[in-house]
Amino acid sequence: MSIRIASVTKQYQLGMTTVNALRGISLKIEQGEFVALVGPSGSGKSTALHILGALDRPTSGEVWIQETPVTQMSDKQLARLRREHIGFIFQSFHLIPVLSVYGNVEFPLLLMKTPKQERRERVMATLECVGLADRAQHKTEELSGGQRQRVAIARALVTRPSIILSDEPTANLDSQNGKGIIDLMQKLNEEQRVTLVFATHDASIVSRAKRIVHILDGAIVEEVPASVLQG
Amino acid sequence: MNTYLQIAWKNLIRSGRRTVVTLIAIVVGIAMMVFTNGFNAGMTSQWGSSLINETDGHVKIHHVDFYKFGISDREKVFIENPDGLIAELRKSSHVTAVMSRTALAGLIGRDENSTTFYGAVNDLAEIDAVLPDHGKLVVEGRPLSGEDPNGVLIGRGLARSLAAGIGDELVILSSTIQGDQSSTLVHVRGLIRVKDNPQAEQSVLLGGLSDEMRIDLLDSGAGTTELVVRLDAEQNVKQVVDSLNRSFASQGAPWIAEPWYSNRELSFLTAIFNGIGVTVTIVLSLIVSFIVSNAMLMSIFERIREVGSIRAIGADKRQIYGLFYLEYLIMTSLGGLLGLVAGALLITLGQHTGISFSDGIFAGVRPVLEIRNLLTSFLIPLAVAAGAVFFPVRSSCRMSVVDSLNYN
Repeated sequence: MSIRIASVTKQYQLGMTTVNALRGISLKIEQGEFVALVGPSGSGKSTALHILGALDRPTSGEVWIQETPVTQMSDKQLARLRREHIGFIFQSFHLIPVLSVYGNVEFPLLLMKTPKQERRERVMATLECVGLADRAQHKTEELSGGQRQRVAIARALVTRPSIILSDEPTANLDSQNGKGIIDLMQKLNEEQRVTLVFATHDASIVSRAKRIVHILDGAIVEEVPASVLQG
Repeated sequence: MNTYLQIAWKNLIRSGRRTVVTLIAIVVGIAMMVFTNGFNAGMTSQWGSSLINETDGHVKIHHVDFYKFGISDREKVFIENPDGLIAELRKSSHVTAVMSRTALAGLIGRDENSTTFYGAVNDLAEIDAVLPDHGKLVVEGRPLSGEDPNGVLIGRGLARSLAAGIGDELVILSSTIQGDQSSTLVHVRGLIRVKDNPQAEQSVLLGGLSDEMRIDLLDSGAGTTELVVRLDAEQNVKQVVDSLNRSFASQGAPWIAEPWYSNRELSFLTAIFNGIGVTVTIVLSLIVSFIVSNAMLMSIFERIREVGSIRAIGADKRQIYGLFYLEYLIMTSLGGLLGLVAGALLITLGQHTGISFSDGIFAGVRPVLEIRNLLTSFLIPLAVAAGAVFFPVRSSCRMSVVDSLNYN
């Protein structure tokens, strides 16, 4: 599934001040790409990620997901799009604290009204994939940061999305856990052709990405294939 | 357990103290509603039973202007041929007994003392059949009896005014149906109380429609001013009253049948108590809904980020509403059911002990447990609370997903 945005701007009102978070950015991400959005804090990369993932609406400009314009979609249609095609991984995990590991991973399937037996199979397979099958009945608060992020990844993967968007997925993790997460994501990208878009400062993620998009003050200032940087 | 239920239940437990306080508020509010409405129903039922069995019967039949002229100009409202009317009444299979009653007023005296009185004289041959509990009015002496046709019952206050006791002879000065002055002698057979109406006790007299009364005092012949009817069952009252009034209207007869529940004092006090019941229900519903809404509001705003993440992974607004309303339903159902149980227990206790606020109609009131009361006390506050919960949930859904995720 590809994503395309054209001339997207995003303005916020902060008291009396208008903040231009994005200043007319255009970008196309193809199916199976691994893209890193980089830039300093406040550059607009998280805002761009939210718009790419239909979490937020642009102030102006157009967004297409698989060539379907999403800017005119209702909230309900956007929710369905996210539910069925997009997975999110957040810096602070955003797990549901009252649910077990299993419950958290199962939850998106419940929203999709997936039958119980299929839910069980998919949840366990996904937990197996992220190495947490033996922790299925644990409470999330009993897990380490790395394990929690793996739960968040499992939650994002369980619906078999075409796109996974992640905002600073390793920011709260130590280097070892961060590396494990990146390995896992890269494996998914390579084996399942899942499109990955990361907003990150993490050099280890940047080094694995296939394309790097540098955002500064709400504008794309540089867009290069990783091979160029690596070369 | 269903995951949605699990989320709702665990969130309630997570905020244990708030949940307990909210539950207590719901339980107390609903228990109070159940009890208040049960007390009202008990009081109405008790008073109704008193009216039916002690004073008014199930149905009264009189002239349409009875209340206007029943005392001042009885000739205008006189039923000259009650036997014909009684025969017509008895055509109804529900009518079991009919008693003539004639309104009476004038002066009553003993020795040097005299005062005004009002009251009625009844056909003593039928009084036991029509008013089986008429004896309960008597607080001293004996009830009216056909064996003692000139024995009367007077209010305790009237007895004090006349310095009269049981067995004392009294002179009644009144007027015949036609308006001529008349008098007769009676004697005190018993003293009665009028529930919660000491003023009425100062002047009330009840007697038998004896030959002396008919001939010497009323000159009424076989006529009367009112017929008091007893039916086979209370639930037939409306049907019989409607049928009689249609019949009177079609014949062009000036009579009207009035059910026991049209009693003015009863209607007035019932309206007041229903008003109190409705007010209590509304106020408690608002308090309960405010507390529930407040608890939900706090719960929702503590979990804005959680709402944001759930929406980010694809929950639509309907599903968010569903999540929070499930939480609301668990809390209110649990509190509501406990409240109903507590209210029912209070009513059961009240049924055993009786509740007295006076020595009259509010003496020994036995509250009544009715399904309607339970449903009303359960559903109204919870419906109001459901409406109140809507706004905080809507607020959380109106916030953008990104704002929810970044909410502090």
